Amino acid sequence: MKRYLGTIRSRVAFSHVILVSVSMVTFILVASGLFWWHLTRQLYRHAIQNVETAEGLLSFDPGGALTLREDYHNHPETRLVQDRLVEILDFNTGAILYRNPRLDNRSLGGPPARDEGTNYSPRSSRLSDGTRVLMISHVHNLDGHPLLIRQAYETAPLLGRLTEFLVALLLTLPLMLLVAGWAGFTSASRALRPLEDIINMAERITPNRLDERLPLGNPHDELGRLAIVINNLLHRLQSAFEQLQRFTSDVSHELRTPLAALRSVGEVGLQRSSTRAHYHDTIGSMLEEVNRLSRFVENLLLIARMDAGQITLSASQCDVSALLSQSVGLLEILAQEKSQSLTLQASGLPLAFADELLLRQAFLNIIHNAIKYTPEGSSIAVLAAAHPDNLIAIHVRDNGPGIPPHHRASVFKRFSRSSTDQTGAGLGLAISKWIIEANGGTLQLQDSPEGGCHFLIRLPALQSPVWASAGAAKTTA
Amino acid sequence: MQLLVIEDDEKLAQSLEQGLEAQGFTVTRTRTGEDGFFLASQNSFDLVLLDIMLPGRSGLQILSSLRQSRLRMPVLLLTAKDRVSDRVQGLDAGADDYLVKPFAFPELLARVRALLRRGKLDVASTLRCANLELDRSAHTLRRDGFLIPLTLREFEILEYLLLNSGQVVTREMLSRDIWKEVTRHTPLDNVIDVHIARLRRKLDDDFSPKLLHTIRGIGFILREEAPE
Repeated sequence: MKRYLGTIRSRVAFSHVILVSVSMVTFILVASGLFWWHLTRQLYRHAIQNVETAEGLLSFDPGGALTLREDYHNHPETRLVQDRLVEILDFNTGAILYRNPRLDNRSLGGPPARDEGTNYSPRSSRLSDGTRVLMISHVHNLDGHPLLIRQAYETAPLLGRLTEFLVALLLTLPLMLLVAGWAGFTSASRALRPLEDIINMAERITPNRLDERLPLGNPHDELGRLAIVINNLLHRLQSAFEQLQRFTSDVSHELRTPLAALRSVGEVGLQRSSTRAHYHDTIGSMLEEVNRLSRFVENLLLIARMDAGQITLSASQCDVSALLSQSVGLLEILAQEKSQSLTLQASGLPLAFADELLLRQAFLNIIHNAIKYTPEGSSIAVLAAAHPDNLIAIHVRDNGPGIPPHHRASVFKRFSRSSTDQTGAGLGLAISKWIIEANGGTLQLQDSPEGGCHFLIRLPALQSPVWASAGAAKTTA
Repeated sequence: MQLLVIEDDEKLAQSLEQGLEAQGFTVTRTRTGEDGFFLASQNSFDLVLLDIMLPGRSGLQILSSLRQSRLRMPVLLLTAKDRVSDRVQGLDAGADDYLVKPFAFPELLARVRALLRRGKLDVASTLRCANLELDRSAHTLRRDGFLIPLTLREFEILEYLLLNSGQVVTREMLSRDIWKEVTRHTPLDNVIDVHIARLRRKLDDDFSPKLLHTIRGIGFILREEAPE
């Protein structure tokens, strides 16, 4: 059974069939019941008319015997007339005064009951020979004699009609079920066709074909929503995959350059026999490239750990203005060398809750970046201020040439660097952005209409009241 | 001085052996942890250089066994793993110091010297090199009797160079020991270069012989004769 109901389609068809058969059977039962009720009611009504007619045709003959004129009927062949069973009793004595030939000598129920015949009292009964009948009774006064007239019909013909009706209905049932099953199967097939498409499409998707998308039917129904969800998933996968591919190719490119330098310096150095000093220089030059490579690998490792979420922040309350003044203090000498003015304005800052070491590295990177890309004699200003909406805003601004518009968008991307610079691997700002965002802040490149370059760091400030209450809660707990 | 090098990378082990022997150490070299443990427990070495990732038993297991056998010689771990947790694990196992690959050879040499010197206090109050004289208590520098003014940072760098006189000092060493930076980064390298340049101007511009030399690709050295 399970095997045949393996598909949703056949399950839907099966449940259709069950549903239709249950409702059909119910319908047939109710219809038959109604039909029976209607038939009997009609029969009683005719019987009552018949009795009333018969009452007018009753008379005592001169011998005192009761007679029923049968020649009255226009259509004596009517079944209602032919099939009736009539019995007339004396209501007081219970003596049988008349029985029609069809009834013969069977009894329609013995002596009259006390209230029999007052309101026709329609009922079903059984004759002495076991024949089932429907019967009414009526009391009629004829010439001062109270008579009880009983009239009955056999139920067999009625049952025959009911059976015909029932059989006719039951015969249509299998047909109905066939139609229901077929309708269920086809409508389920039609409803599930998008799912079939999704299955086929999903089977076709490989890492090389992540740009494929599922066809969207109606975007508002369940399958449409499923397709949208899967398409979004595919989109995320595709961009992650592309990012990885880009990263890998960038990395190999970045590795290739120092490796090529290393190789050619070594090969050229060995080609000619030379002085000790020359060899020293060759080896030194190779070591420089090795340093560059090591630094690059270190940064890559850092980025890989950032991406994998393997860097745990050791956050604590930290004094941003102290960190800034340390960073500026450390790098001051570089600015001096280029006759740049490097100024810091940071006072009255609230505390932040961040990883000091990482945050300091980000500050160093950003300020160093400004020193590096600003020409001699220009000025760099670091300005930090508390922001009303519980933020610390740190502006690093210079009046150098700024960043060309086409390069602005990719400033924070990995391996991005200005075309004039070949010294770094372009990871510094990407790492800084990650650090600041990991500490709940943002790093943005601002528009600076007056020229130069303007980085804005926003860090959430520590809300001292909240912090204090959290601490208090901890001590009482 | 007897050193034991337990390192499975042939090329690295060979260069360590050559470099250390050139500095006057006697070096025994082995490639597996089992051999290393056997050698270390049979002979008395002054110091062990131990790689963590070894075929067979790992460096950390060797180290624990050594310490359990009450062998107390200093152990310097060499490893490619650089996370704080890795460091802590190594130091917990009983290592005396920890060096992350790739490292600069002068750095290794300085660490080895520091470990061998440990316990012996360096109390000389005046450090000298040729006609250069640094008074550590008075914080003054004289050359040929002339007083040369130094900033605090320059003083610290020069003191460090004098303590390692005749040995190459790398930027890593300066960054860790003078600036106390946990991680090395590009901005700091540039800062170190500027400080060295200024120091050299003060020390050597008006005097001879030239003392502060740059060894390309490695670092700096303070000594009388110029490097070839």
